[in-house]
Amino acid sequence: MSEQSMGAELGTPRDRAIAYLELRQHGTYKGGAEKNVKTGLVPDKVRRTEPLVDSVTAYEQVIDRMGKKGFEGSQQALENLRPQAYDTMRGVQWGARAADFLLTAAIWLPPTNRIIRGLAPKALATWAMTRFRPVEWIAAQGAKMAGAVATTETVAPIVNKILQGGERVPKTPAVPKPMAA
Amino acid sequence: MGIYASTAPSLLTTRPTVGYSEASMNTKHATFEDRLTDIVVQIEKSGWTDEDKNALYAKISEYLHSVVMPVLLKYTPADELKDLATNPAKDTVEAFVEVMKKPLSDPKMAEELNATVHSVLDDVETALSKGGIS
Repeated sequence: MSEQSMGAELGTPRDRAIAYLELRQHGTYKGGAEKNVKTGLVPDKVRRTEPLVDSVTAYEQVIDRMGKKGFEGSQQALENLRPQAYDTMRGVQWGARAADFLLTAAIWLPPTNRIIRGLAPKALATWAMTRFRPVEWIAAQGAKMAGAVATTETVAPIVNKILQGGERVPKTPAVPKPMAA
Repeated sequence: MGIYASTAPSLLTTRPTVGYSEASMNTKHATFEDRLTDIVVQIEKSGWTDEDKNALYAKISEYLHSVVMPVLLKYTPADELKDLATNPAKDTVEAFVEVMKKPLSDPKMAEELNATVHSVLDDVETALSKGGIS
């Protein structure tokens, strides 16, 4: 389906908008069905890009093994990376939340997704995603985070979810049923 | 008051939801996060159902996350990454993080990633117009 013909063949505004983004992201339209956000380790078109092939292969091998070994220690390792990422991204005027997006996409999501795909039941997947909460972390570290920007209560959580990825956004958390007396 | 403002009020800039978004839309001088916020505001005001909005948010999130690794790997020392991959004994979270520190501290990576995510947001804005949101 071409970009030009898309409007005629797809009915709803949502389908048209998502189809356009899929076309831009993948070069193909894959149906427009709602999907969970489970980012692939490396997109196919990158995997095929000649100068990066070796790096992609090596990266995926490392991530695979990290996924199999488990995640112990990774939280602290991530904490150690934050100041560096913030300083670098401040150069292009990224706020702290957006810099956390970089860390999430680059360091946290790939092994987490590997675990989710290969090994884990949903409970573990949820656990893995909820352990890393950049926004709360930023709030707690507020004195150091000059770039953080708060918006309204309505918009900020959605922006956060888009930046964090992982789970479908925004989702109302399940409320445990009260135990019967 | 949201959790961000309530926990660190002195450093956070609270802006009104309505009234600023159109002004900074399509502006290359706007930051990545400002543009993304503008987009969310537009979608929220669109009149779409929650289900449709969520589907679009999920797609935007997926698209944004998918462009990070290609840029980062371009600035990651290939030999160090390969060394890590071929030596399981060295393969720890700490060693991996050590290798990734280099691209993460490279200003050129930051500039390229910034340009890349802005181009994604360009696509998102076009998608919004295709979806009747503008």
